[in-house]
Amino acid sequence: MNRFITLMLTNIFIAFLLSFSVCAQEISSELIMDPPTQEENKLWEGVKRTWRDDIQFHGFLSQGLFSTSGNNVYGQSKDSLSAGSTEMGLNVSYQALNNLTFTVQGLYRRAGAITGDAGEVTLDFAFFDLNLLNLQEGRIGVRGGRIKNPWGLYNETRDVAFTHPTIFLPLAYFERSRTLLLAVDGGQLYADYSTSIGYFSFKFNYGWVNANDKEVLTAIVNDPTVSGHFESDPSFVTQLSYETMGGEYVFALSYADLNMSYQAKSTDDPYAQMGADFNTFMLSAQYNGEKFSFVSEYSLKWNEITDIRMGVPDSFAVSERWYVQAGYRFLDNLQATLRYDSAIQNLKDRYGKGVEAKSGGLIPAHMAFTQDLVFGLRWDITPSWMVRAEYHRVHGAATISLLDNPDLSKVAKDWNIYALQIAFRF
Amino acid sequence: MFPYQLRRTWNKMAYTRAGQPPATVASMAEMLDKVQHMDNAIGYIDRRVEDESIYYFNAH
Repeated sequence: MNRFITLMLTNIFIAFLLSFSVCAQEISSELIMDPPTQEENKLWEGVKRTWRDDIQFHGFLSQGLFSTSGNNVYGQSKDSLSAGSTEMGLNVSYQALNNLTFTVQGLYRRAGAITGDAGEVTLDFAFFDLNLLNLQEGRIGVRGGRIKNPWGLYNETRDVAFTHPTIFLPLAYFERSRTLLLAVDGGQLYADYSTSIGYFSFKFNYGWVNANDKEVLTAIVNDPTVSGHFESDPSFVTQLSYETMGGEYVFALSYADLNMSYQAKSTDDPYAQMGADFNTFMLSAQYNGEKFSFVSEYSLKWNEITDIRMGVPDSFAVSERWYVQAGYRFLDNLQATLRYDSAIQNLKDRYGKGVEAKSGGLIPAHMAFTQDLVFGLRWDITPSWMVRAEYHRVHGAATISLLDNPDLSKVAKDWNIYALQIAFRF
Repeated sequence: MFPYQLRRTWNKMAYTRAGQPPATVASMAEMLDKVQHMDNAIGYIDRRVEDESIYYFNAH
């Protein structure tokens, strides 16, 4: 099968298309093109060799500015100003054969105390993509290496500011456990199928997640002295999505089963036998109209933490996260967004009274839930540059970073976030 | 399809590498050059351009 090269003129989108595929149909010519001369052809051959269409680069960059009351986000933002969120990524892909591509993306990220001031460089993804079956209606293939997890509408591109509507992702994308769900080291089976009623896409990721994350561990044991780390056991993440042609309506069902066990540093480590098992699904629905957009996602997560340590009972909690979001496009490049977002850590302890009592007041009740009302404005100055601003009225503190807010007794229940972000992509 | 839907789709492709988004060219002259000289090239433009090298046809 021929590989098609598609090109696009800056700033301009479909109006009409020059395609050779319609030649078979009845055509009426308006103008006859002179075939290029032999000499012109030779000249072009030289140019063609230097213009590699089989290697592609893309990159993105974003910088955020935050000011909050009550709690810190991305560094010391409380009653102050923090520029503690920077994200920068670069990817390259090489199409070795018609059905074989190699691709890699590096990510630089600064996110408050979690990464420290210097930030962190990680290998975001690196995989080969082997297309096993490529038909007009669909394709089936496998990918191997480090692969982003298809979870909800935004997880695969959660660090690319351009691809989601607000600076802060909805609470369902739980920033504190981002590393867990980010990617697997393993394999993916994917299948796409186009029908007259829309486009179906299926992905199944199997492998090992990145469980070695201080933020996740601290949130689970509530003990800053913990010395070991979590290591992933085999896990999987899968998604089935359906969209009408062009993505006017998008629906998706995602499911993840993440398993990990604690690796002790010393033999007398009280957590030595601890294991954690997370099962979660997310339902997503999105409407993209000319002026209005609506998005809603609903997620339940079963958190099972066993053999925490002597005298501490196993923990089974079901977390619930959902949001509804409306967007209005004043212009093609100017959009306002309003969102109501909710996260409950444990449905059996919705208001956190239980966790507060059990911890002897150490963990305040309002760390068990968050309701967030968000209003944002986004201006896409050019296809490459974007700025946006948003305001959050937050009730509860379930989603704050414990590394940015180490003193639990000072965690505020009602607070505000003002945020500004500038982003670039190519 | 609205322009932002196309941007959404192509941005997702560019940053998950699920496919190759279209290459962007800087001028109409470059577009004409590439469409004419590369095998299997398809170009998207915003309006009808008159150029003696262009062959127009309508499909029925």
